[in-house]
Amino acid sequence: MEGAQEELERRSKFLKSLIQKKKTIEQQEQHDHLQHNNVRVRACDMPLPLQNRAFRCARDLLDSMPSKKLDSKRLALTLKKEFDTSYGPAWHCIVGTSFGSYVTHSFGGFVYFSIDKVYVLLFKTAVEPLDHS
Amino acid sequence: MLEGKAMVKETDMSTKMQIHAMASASQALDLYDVYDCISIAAHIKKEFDSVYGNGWQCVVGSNFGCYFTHSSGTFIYFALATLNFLIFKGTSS
Repeated sequence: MEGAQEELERRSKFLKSLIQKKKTIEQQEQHDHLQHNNVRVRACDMPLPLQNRAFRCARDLLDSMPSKKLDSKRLALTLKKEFDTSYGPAWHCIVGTSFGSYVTHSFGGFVYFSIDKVYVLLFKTAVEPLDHS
Repeated sequence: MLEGKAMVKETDMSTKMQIHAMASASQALDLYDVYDCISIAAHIKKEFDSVYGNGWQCVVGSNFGCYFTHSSGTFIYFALATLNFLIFKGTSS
């Protein structure tokens, strides 16, 4: 029985170390990714794949804008439409260098990040059936 | 209003609701500094949630662009003092 107990403890420690290593690797990859794209997450309630989707979309569009002039509305439009299409309505996006906001968002549908010198707020609200009364 | 008159840029709200939005913004500017955009936005959003039901969103600032989906009759974008205000309801109900 003591042998079995020791074996269980050994396996448990091994699994825990595996999990920890995996987390560390994932965090490092995410950190590298953000650094490469000059992205900094300020606040977040969103699954990682969606975050990365937003960062990549923003990065691609900013890189394609001529003379580095920021077109806030176009970036907001692009992000909102991409997320509406991919993850269902209704997403909202605010982009700019100077704004504050106070919003209510769906669970798991909120990210506020900066990329280069611009700030991006992307969030989702529930869509309910229209009241036809 | 010490801040002067608000200028509506775009809206699909009823006139009564518009007036309420601008009065709420003016009140917020009396309470908070012009640089505290988040507190100003919070004040307005909470007012609208309590009076017209939950789901309101508010953005305040001097430099922003945005794209959003709003319920019918619940959108206003106006300027007051040095700030621009966007208020809308994001849920349909």
